[in-house]
Amino acid sequence: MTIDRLPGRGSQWRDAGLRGFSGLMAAFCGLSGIVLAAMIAAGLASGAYSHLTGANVDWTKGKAETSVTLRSSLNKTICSPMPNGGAKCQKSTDGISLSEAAPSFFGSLVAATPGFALVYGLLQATLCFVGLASGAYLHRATVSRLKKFAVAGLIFLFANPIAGVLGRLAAYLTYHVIRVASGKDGFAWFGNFERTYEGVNDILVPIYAVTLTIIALVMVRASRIAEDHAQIV
Amino acid sequence: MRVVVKLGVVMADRNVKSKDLAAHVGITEANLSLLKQGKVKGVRFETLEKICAYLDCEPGDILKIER
Repeated sequence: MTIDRLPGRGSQWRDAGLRGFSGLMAAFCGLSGIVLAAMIAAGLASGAYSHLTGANVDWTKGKAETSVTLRSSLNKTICSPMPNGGAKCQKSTDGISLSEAAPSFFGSLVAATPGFALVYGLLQATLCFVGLASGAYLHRATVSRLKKFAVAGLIFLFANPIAGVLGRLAAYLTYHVIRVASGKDGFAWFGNFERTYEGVNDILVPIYAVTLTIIALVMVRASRIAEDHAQIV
Repeated sequence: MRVVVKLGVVMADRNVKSKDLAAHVGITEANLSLLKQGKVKGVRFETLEKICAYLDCEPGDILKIER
C-alpha cells in the first residue's frame, strides 16, 4: 500500500536529439523564410519596375538545378468608350502612369498575399522550433505557433492558385474606383499578376515531414503525462 | 522513504464501507480501491479533503511516511 514515485521514463539522449534537431530545423525554417521574403520583395520590385517603364524583366541567377528567376512584363489592355455605346480596346506595352501605379501595385500585393502567409508561417515555425529546442515542448506559446504555422500553410495551399486572379481583380476594381471618383471614362485591364513559387514544395515537404515527426515524439511525451494524470484520484 | 496509504485502516476503524465513501467523495469504487492499495500517482487536495471530512480525520492519519 505505497505510492510509487514517478518512474524516470524520459531518456536524456532522446531529449537532446529532439532539441538539437529542433534547433537545426529552426535555422532551416528561418533561412527559408528570409529567402522567400527576399524573393517576394524582389518580385514586387521587378513588377513595379516593368509596370512603370513597360520594360520586361527577365533575370536568372544560378544553374539549372538551383536557380532564381524573376520575370515581369506589362500586359495591359486599355478600353475607351465609343459613341455607339461599345468600347474600343487595345493592348498597350507602354508604361503605366502614376495614377495607374497604385492599382497595379495593390494588385501585385494581393497576388503576393499567399507568399506573405507562407513567410509568416515559416517565421512561426522558426519560433516553434526554437521553443522545442529550448525544451518548451508543451508550452502554450509553442503549440500556438505550431497552429499558426499549419494555418499559414493551408492559406498558402488554397490561396496560391487563385492569387493571380484575385490580384487582377483587385487592380481592376481599384483602378475603376479611382477613374469613377475622378470622373473619367474607360478602363484598363492589367493581366500579369500570376506568381509561381517554384521549388517551394521541395522546401515545404521536408519541413512538414520533420514537423510531423517531432509532433509524434511530443505526443508520446504528452500521452505519458496524460496517463500519469489519469492515475491521480 | 516512501508514502504509505493507511486509508483502509482508518476506514476499518470507523466501520465505513467503500461504497459509501466513494459516493461521498465522488470517485468510483475502483479508484477508491486503487487509492487504498496505494496504486495511484497522487491524490487531489479536494479528494483528500472530502475523505477527511467523511472519516473525521486528518490527512496525516491517511498518509504516512515510511522510513
